[in-house]
Amino acid sequence: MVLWRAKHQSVAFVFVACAAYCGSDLGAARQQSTDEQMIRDARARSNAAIAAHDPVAIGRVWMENVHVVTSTSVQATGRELNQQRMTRQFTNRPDTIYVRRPTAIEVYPQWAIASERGEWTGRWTEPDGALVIEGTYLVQWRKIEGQWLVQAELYVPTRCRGGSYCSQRPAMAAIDKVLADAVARGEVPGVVAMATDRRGIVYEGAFGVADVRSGRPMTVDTVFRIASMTKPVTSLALMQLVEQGHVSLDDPAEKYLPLQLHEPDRPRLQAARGRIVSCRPSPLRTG
Amino acid sequence: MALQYRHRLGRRIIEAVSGKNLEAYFRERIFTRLGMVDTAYNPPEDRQRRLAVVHRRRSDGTFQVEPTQPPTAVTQFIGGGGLASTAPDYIRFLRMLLNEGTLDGARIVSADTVATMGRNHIGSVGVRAAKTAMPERSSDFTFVADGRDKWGIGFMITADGKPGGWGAGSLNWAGSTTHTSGSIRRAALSV
Repeated sequence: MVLWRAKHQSVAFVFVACAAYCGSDLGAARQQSTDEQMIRDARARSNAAIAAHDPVAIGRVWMENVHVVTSTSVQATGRELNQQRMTRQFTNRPDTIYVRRPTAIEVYPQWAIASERGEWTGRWTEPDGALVIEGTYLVQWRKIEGQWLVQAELYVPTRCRGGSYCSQRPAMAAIDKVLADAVARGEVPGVVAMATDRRGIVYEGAFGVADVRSGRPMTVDTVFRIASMTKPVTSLALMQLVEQGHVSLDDPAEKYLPLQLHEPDRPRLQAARGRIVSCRPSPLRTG
Repeated sequence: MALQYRHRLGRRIIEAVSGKNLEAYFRERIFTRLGMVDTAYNPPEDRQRRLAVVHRRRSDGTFQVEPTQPPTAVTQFIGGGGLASTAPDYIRFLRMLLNEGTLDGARIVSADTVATMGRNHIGSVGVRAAKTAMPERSSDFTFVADGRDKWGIGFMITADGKPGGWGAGSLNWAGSTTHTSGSIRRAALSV
């Protein structure tokens, strides 16, 4: 009897638990499929907006601070900046078409967040012929006030059929072209350019010559007289002394510099009294 | 010019307070610690062979080598100019700023100091655009948003972000720009 009751209770317990679980699961599943459908619909609208070359409509699925990593590893944050990026592409390549085909949408309702994975295709005509570029993508969607919006998109190319666009990473090629063209047009004899992020160099290039007489080519490690680019170094040096407590920006400069009567800078120094403004130029343009 | 004057003053304060001349101070406290191996007032001879010469534009638009090159031996270590450097070296300086004062384990200044340098220090006054005084040697300073750009410490602060250009709030001076607004941080250098 005791045993039976225990069994019965046990069974009942399991049943109740199952009912509660299955009930919530069904509701959640229904909500999940609604969310999934909303995302599929938004993706379809976004594809249509791209087909129509309509940056305003493209922007409707993006959050204000959307972050996009493009297939050429360009990173752009902000709806407006990304709309401008699309507009630029449509202007430069008027037959551009991008299609995203989702293969998996997974919703995590507790965080009102969803993942969309899929395959994308881009087609347009480059100066050297037709281009088809394809790859995979991942999108983070967020549900905000009942609406699913894109927080981030990541596009990775895996196949490309076409000419030079496919053989060289376009972002780097574009920078190379700007610099090489400036040399070709005679705007500068030579140029070195380099770009970095916090972790390391993301672009480097050298074009033209370091000396027009000998034709010695410009190289990335060409030494330059950097002239006014010395100023930030001087500023940093002074700021080291400020943070070590040796100098205060709010002290008059005379505190550190015993001035002689014939000091030619004296009138200006007195004008600068009150604060050391040594490492920024005077807004007054006195000289 | 006011700009040169301020840096002359800065140099004198650095030398008076640290007891070192500016050349020694830069070398010991900044360049060595940042691994800026090609940056100096007086580059050694082997590096002078890698030096880009100064050119001037002829009236027909072509370039010629400037007859009077800046001296290779600098005795006056002025704060407003005079250094020789390379793109890889200067990019290390900028990367240190992007990393809030530290690079490859070496702390050069505190994150607070970097933030202070990037803040507006001239109140409501704006930076004015400038015309070149020597068209054969330099272009106009048209990159200044006339009257709206600001000065931080050592850098000018860009007022207007432009697509494909500097972001609003980015720092720039002469051949360099450092973008530190928002979640992306990057720096660029061109000489």
